[in-house]
Amino acid sequence: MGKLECSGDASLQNALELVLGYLNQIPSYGHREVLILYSALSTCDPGDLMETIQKCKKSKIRCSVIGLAAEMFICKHLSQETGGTYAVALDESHLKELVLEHAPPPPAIAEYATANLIKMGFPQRAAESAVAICTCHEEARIGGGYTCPRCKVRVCELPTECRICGLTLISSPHLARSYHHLFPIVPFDEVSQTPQNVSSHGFSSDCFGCQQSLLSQGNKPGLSVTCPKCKQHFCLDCDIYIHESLHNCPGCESFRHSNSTATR
Amino acid sequence: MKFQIEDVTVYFPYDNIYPEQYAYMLELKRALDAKGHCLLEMPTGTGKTIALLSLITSYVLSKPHAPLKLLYCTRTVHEMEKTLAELKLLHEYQIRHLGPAAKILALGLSSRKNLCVNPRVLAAENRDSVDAGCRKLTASWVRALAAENPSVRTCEFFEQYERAGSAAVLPPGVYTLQDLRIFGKEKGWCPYYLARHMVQFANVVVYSYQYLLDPKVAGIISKEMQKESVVVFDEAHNIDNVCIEALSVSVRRQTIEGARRNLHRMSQEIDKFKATDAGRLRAEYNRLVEGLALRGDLPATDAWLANPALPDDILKEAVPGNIRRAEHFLQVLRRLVQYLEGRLDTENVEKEGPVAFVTSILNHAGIDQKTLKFCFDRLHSLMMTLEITDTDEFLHIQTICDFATLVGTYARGFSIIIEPFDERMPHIPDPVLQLCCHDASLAIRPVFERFQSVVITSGTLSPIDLYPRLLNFNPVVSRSFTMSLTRDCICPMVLTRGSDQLPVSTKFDMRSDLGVVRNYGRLLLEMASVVPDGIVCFFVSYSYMDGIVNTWNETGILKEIMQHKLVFIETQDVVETTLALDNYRKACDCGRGAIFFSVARGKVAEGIDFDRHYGRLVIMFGVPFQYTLSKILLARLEYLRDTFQIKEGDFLTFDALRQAAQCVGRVIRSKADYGMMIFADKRYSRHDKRSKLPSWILSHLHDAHLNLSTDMALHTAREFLRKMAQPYDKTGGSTGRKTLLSQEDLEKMVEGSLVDSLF
Repeated sequence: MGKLECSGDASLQNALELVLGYLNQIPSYGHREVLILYSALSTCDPGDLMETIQKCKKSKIRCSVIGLAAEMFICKHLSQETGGTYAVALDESHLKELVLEHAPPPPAIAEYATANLIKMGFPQRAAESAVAICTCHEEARIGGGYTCPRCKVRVCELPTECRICGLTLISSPHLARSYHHLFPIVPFDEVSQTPQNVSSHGFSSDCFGCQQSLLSQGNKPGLSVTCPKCKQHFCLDCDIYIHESLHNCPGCESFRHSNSTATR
Repeated sequence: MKFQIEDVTVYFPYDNIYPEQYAYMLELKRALDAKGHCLLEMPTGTGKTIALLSLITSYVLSKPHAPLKLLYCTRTVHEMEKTLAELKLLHEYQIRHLGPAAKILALGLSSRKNLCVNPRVLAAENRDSVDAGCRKLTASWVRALAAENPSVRTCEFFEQYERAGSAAVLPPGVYTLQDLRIFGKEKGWCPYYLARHMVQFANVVVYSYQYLLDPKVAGIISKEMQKESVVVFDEAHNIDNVCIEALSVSVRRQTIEGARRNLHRMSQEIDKFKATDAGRLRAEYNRLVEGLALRGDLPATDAWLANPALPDDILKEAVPGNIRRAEHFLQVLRRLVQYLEGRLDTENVEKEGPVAFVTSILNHAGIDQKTLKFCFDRLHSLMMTLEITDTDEFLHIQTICDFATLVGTYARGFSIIIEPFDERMPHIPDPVLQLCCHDASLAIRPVFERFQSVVITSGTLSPIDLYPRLLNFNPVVSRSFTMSLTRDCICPMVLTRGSDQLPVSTKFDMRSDLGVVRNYGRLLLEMASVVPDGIVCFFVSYSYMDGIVNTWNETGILKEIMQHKLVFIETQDVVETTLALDNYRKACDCGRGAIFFSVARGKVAEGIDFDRHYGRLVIMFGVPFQYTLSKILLARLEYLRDTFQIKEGDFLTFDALRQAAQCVGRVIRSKADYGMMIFADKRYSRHDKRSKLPSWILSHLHDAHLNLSTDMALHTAREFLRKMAQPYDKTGGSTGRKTLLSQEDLEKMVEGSLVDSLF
């Protein structure tokens, strides 16, 4: 990185053309995103920037821009056309916040995520004493790697693509985690606290998640939320835990023949 | 949405309304109830047009026993089209709610050039040739000839319109100029004459200022308008200048030569007629003896110009004996032209009042005042008798007769100024004789007297109490409104010095100072590196702009500026300027960024909007005073001082600052927009200049932004741009003070009667 220098005028079109070249190789079921940190106030392009933006839109590349100086029309237009976001940082801490906002992947858009059968490998962890030449470093390593199920070579880390046979190698926790981000859990609805709720609707007085009483002192119903799909009630602590850590609703999961077939 | 203002149900076609629109409508309704005139100032971008249209049409609907006509005057054809588009929206909304009872007829009216559909006539290059082309085909004698001789050309659209007779009507609806043309083509009728006819029956008419203020045009179009009408002058901050120009005439050497040619041609025609059809000239003479100056009821196509004097001032008497015969009249005109040529040959600047001028005409050319008064009518009658159709050739003699009639009719409020050369170019002889009107109230007096309510509205009417004095009327309502904003989207700044702390100004003695030029250059350079997208710069005059751009070029500042953004410049040629504007917008759209150099009194400052990213910063270089050594201006200032007790300095400052406010108002067109304004001159920090800016700019001009230097302005600009780039809530609900009201908010507000406390 130390050898990279820049000179001349900033060019959005050159950057986007480069990105198009790289990201077009990603298979269509993958997310294509680019985050541009832009501090210049103009762009000096060799051709028609609007054409390049249309190309990005057609290739389904989601372009987001974080500006460091002021709001530029072309950046706003780019992010609106491709479905990304545009923000301008006020100071250093705001910049950090804005950049980190892009770390979790955005929810998948239904039209883009067409159903496909994708071949994936789930490699086993090699024994501690096994010796093999790993394909990423091209030197002999002792233990602690994964074996590709198709061509049996050793790779050091997951997720990756096997260098020899091209199979996508992944572990199941990774897949589960990405599913949480791509298809997030719906926000729960607040429940009004009128006493008539207690008698009708089969209002249970306990939180479905932690089994603690939902009533505050003096038998009055306290604050609670309910899942719109399975209609179970949860307390506020469980609500936070479900949405931030668990990414699954215990009510929906506990129904054996669940009608909520897809959260898509 | 629908709501009540006292006893009127107002139909407003949008779901949300700004509080200042509501307050505006309230004041307007009070003026209409009082059947009086009003002055309303509301900033640009707050939906003034729709508020006006919506209230007035709803007022008319709520009082069906006293129908009012709306005469809406705009300055340009573009504004006319925008207004009619808004009216269409409003009309559809009203029909949806009230059913077919709410149908009205609304149309726009403009010159033949914009309404003609005859391809042969339309091919002429300018407005006068199109008019002449139309007359060649539609004059009554041409049509009479065509009835006998089918080879004589007429206009097929006009003929079909005439044949349709009383069936030639426009069904109710809203018609833009485009719609009229389409309708005309479809039915095969002439859109221009159809529109002129339908104007008498329409509920809403949209046309330009000239149709009401210029007596030459108003005498034909607006003569028959009913008294129960509401007249609205939109963007009327320059209305006093329009009134003055309507009654001013200037005569140059080309005019004199052209007039001579016209007279020669007319005498040839008279000889021709004497040989072939002497009866016609005799009939005209008899008519004049009987005291009918004009031919009374003229067909519509033959009335092409009315008397340049105001209708009340036209003498209703018989034409004097010495000009009844055509040859005598031509002799009189020849003597007049000779006299004017003699006056033009002077070496010094001369200034006279009209009475002295008329006396000297009497002494030198033997023409008395009464004869002068009748010049125009007599010329018109003669041209009709001689059946002259190519009127664009005869403009010169018409100008001379306009001049003669005005000089003979008015004794006060005018001056005649003869200048042998233009002050700025003393070596080129360019003599000009000008009849200058100084009194703006003359042209607009008939409008105030005749119509029930006149509304004068604009975004920059400051100081508002000067207008009633200039136009000599008494408004019942005179209010100035401010914008309600969720966030401070305007950042005006007064910059008085450069980074080296030297003061900057465009004061005449400081203009060529290299330090000032360099500071202005550095200001623009620094701003170009900090502001994205488009920047607009206004200079005080073309010559100043040329000079300063040349100096910047020589010192290399212009090259540095061009590295940040592309530079476009306004010239005096319309086509070039349009091209430059087009490319400026393209450059802003594609992210390259651009700067537009323009002049404060030019076409761009009057009509073009630089909203959103097309104008993020506007810099007003200097204070745009008028050329103070111009004789006409000096004469006008003297007249204002003598008659209205308005000090010269006050008036000049008022005029300069209204122009500056108009220029900087170009950058904001809506509330979601934001922009910065820099007033770059040390004179702006003085209170007497600053206080003349409109209140909606002053309310955002904090004390911390006065008296800035370039680096301080830079810092302020950076912060402002960063703050404005953050997302915000349009309705302002979160901050408590609502700026976009829905129906419930409005009802609550009316109940709580918070309106008066807001403004």
